[in-house]
Amino acid sequence: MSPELWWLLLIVPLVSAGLCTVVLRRWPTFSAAVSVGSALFCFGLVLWGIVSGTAAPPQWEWLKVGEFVISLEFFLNELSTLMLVVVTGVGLLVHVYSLGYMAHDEARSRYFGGLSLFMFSMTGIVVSDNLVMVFIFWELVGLSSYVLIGHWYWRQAASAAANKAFLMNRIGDLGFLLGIIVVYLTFGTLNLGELRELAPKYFMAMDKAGAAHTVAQPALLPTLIALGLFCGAVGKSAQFPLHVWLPDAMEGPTPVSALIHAATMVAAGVYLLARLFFLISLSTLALEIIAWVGGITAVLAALMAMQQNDIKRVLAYSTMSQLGLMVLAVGLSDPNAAMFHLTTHAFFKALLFLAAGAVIHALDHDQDIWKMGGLAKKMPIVFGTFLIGTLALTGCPGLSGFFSKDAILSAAQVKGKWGLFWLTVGTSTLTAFYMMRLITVAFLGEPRSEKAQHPHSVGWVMVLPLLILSVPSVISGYGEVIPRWLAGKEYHHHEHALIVYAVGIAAFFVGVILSALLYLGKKQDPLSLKLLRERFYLDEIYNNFFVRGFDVLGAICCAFDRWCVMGIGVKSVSLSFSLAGHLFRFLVNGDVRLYTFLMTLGVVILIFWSR
Amino acid sequence: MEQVLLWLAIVAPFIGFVLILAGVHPRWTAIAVTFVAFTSGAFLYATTGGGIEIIADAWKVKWLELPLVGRVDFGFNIDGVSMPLLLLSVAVSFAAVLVSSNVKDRNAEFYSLILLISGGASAAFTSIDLIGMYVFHELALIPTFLLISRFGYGAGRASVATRMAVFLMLGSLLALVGIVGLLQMMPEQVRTSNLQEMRQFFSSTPPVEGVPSWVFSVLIIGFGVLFGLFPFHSWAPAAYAACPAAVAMLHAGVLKNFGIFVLLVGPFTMFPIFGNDEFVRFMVPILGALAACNMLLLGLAALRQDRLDVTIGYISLMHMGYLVLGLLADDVFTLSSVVMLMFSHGLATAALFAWISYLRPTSSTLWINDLTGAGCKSPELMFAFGLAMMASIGLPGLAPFAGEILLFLNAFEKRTLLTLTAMVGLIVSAVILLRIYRKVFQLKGLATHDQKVYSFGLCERFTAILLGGLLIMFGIFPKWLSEPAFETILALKEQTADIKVVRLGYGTE
Amino acid sequence: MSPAKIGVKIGRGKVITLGHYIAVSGLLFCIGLLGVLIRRSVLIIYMCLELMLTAAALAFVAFSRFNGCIDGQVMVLFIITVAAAEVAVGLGIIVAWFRLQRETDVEGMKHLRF
Repeated sequence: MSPELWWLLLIVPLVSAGLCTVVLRRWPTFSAAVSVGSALFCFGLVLWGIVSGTAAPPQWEWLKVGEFVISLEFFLNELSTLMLVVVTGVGLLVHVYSLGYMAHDEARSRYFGGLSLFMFSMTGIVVSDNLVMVFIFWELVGLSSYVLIGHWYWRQAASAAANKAFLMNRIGDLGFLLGIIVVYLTFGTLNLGELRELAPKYFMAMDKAGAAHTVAQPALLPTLIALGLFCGAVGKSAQFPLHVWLPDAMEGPTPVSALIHAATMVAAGVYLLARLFFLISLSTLALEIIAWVGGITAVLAALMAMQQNDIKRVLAYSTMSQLGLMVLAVGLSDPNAAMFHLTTHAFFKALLFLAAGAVIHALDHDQDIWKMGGLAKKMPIVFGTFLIGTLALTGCPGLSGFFSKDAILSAAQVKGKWGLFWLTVGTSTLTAFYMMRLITVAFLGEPRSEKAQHPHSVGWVMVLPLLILSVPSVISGYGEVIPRWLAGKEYHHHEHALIVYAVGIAAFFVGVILSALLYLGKKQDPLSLKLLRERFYLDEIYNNFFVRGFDVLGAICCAFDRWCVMGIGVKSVSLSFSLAGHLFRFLVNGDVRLYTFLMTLGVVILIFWSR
Repeated sequence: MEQVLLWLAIVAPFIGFVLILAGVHPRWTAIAVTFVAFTSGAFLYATTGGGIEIIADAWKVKWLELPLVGRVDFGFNIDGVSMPLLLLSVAVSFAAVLVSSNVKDRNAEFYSLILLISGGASAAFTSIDLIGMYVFHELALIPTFLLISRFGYGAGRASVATRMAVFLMLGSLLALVGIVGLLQMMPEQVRTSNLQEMRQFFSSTPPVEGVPSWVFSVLIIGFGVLFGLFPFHSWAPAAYAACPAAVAMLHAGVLKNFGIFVLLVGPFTMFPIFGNDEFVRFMVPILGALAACNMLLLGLAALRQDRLDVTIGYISLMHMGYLVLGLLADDVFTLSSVVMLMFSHGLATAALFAWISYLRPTSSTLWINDLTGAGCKSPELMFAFGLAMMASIGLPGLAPFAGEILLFLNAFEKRTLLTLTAMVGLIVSAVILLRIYRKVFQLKGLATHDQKVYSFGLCERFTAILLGGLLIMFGIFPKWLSEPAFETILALKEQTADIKVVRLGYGTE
Repeated sequence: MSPAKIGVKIGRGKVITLGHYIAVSGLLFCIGLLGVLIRRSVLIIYMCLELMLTAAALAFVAFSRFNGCIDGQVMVLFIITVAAAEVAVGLGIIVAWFRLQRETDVEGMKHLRF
């Protein structure tokens, strides 16, 4: 395959996005066709590219200032090709699914345009070999997210959610940008290829004694770089401080949630960390912080998921939690484990979201699980696929999630980080708990509402992707195919310790059984933990502190500008002029004697002055 | 060939002015003339590669011989710094004229004055002579006052126009004093305000006594008033609120950049201004603090404004802070980024002002609370405004981002704190504009004003394609902007003299 | 003989020099100036104005006499003529004004401003 064809991977979705949004707005069927066609094309191109194994295309200069060049180059190693497969594959399935889900929506063109824009930007993140280009596509992904979450923008909640997502991402991007600047200042280049050469030599250069040592130390600059780049991941992958946008993002259409907020966009943060691992690993302190942030996010999100009543929100928190685990894995210096989990997670989470979307679609857009029930009998295929996805997610032995989660546990155990180990175990237990809760309440038991009694049927266009996704959810863990692929030549097979297997399986069973006991046959939630249900009040804290704080700051600045600068500064000038006018007014009042007096005075002064 | 295009681009609006006064249909003349100017400008841009090649042997003539100022030449030429600004000027003029379809009575007055502004702006940027630049800028400025007081909005428009007039005239006066002070450094016989010759003179025979530093301070303050540096910005927001759309587009988008432009081609590239201790110790921290105030204080003040146009006015002032950062970092890269940002933010601001004017109910100002949900009725307007808004907040893929990233990367080392402030400013502007977008365009049906549903006619589509297209095009291909700017500024910097800047008085140390 | 030494003999040894004449003239001028500044009645002001003119004329005559040239006395003729014309015009204005106002105060002339 000729290298130039790789450009089409970017150009086709971009053109599709442009066409859908601008030209084909009034013909939604055409837009849908164009968009799905472009997704199909991209997937096919990726597969063909992998199979025929070609070199990357030549670079394209984006910005050139003298000798400083920022260019778009493709870097295709195992990591990026894996991610490309995931992105284009899941993307294609979501496109197809959307044909059914959004069939009655009037703004389909805008929707498909947004989807294509997303595909363009995400592919850009995956293949770019220059930090600034990654940043560009990073922000464009944020834009696509904004457009798609706010698809039904006339709804208060949706437009607020889109706003929140964009702003939180921007805050993370600020850190990302800082990291990029420090990279530029430290290494003098933004090209990942060159950085790969330079980074390992960083500490060697620092050692004055000349002995080459590559042990990473918590030196200032690498830590700043790592934390800066991590900020981007925190924003994009919804890790602890910047996580509040992800649950709200569920206001978007479900296929969007599946694609963007489960499988790909949020995974971009993890992907970034894995791709730039050679930079991040320069600082052990940063790795510690990353691991703990991931761990905390995982646990917090799992706790919050336990008490949510909206089917999509449960899945959203679950995503957050799993992302935390992936970030944790990166912090444990095992990016391959993180990417393994990312891949399996992409499949089963997308499956779960799409299945949930089918349920929502069937129940006329009702998302409260306490209004569902008994759907296992009414929608067997959807239930089957949802169950497969759940089992994969909770780490049921034998399915893909089990293997990838075990990889993470094993990494923690091998490095001796028992705190993080037990954190992961706790998260797994909680995951099993709330997912079983979801299944029990939504699918088992008796229908709890009119809609659940008579769900609409779901078209094959929506069921097919579910079936297709079930397959990798089951098998993608087997044979260690993915870790082998990722590690390439450096792969060495090591058996996980027994404790890892034991604890993993135990967590699964404990969570499932507890949940089944608590929730089978109940009509309302027996557990009522307000703190968790209100998501630790973090939303409210952010709102009151930051949003109101901003407003207060704005009010102060506004008042300062109006009263001080304008009132004092400008008014003083104008007042002085009018004062002068008032003073001189008295000289011209028509009084003849004043005039003669002043004339005389003037003459006297002239006489004395001219002496 | 390029000469003809250049002269056409500059003179066309003036010809239009004359034609309108002679009685030809105002709107059609204006559209035709600005279209001619725009196409010539675009062709010129393409053929000269964005201004990399200066027009050799451009026609010029000795215009005046004034006592303090010396010989003043008249002529136009382009280089990497002035070509983008010329393109900006002609593009925005065309858009401004297209957008003014709501001006129905006293058309002739309106369009003739707009053409004066447009021609004056184009001429100001491409003039080869410092005094020429000044004169054309004044020519462009004066119709603004007339237009605001006659065709503006709001009851207090006359007083707002007067305030703006006096403020800007005071600033121009200060700037003129600075220019004269600068020219005094040349001896009587060779004194000229032709920029090229000034540069040659200063690089070949630097004045023995050095250049007094008060000259730079006065120049910076004078031009600071013109582009809205922090304490001197008060004329801007209220003025933009009262302006008709075309005037706001031309002024905020094009004329505001004039101050920075002159500072760029004048003091900052003619003299090694940062070599002087006193300047670095006093003016730079002050300027830095003022720029930070521009970025943060004015940005935050924009959060609490009730009127849409005032908010956009504050946002445009915020962008000026970035330009000052670029000047202060004194690096060829950051100076190139200043050129890029002038162009791109000018386009984005003009676009913003264009689109909000469509939300304006007849003859009143744009109170945000009254406009809730107004834009919802017009999807094209939503899209166009959204594009302009995203450009303003620095979304990659649109023109301003390239300049911003170049600026941040290169200014970080020298002016760390200020660059950090600038980056925070990105978030602030995002907060403000997104909030406005949400309130005005997304929340449905709560508008209390009786809004006409605005449907996009041919003119509006053209403007959208023009402005949006330029923003996207230079976002995808920023090297078309950056290369010429870089080459030109590199050449200018290489010519910079090794002059010492003295502390006291006028001439002697 | 020097002009300053030319004096008019009056009695035993005392001579009236130029200085005396100039002093008188100056005094007269100052009295006239003071009158113009201080007096309230328009006619008195006018008379003081005439006094100032007369003082100037006296100075001219004195210089003419003591310098031996006739130019000063010619100047005085001019002064008298001009004074006469000015009086005619001025009195005309004053009379017209008083036909209107019926008072002699100069404060009343403030209204001429409007």
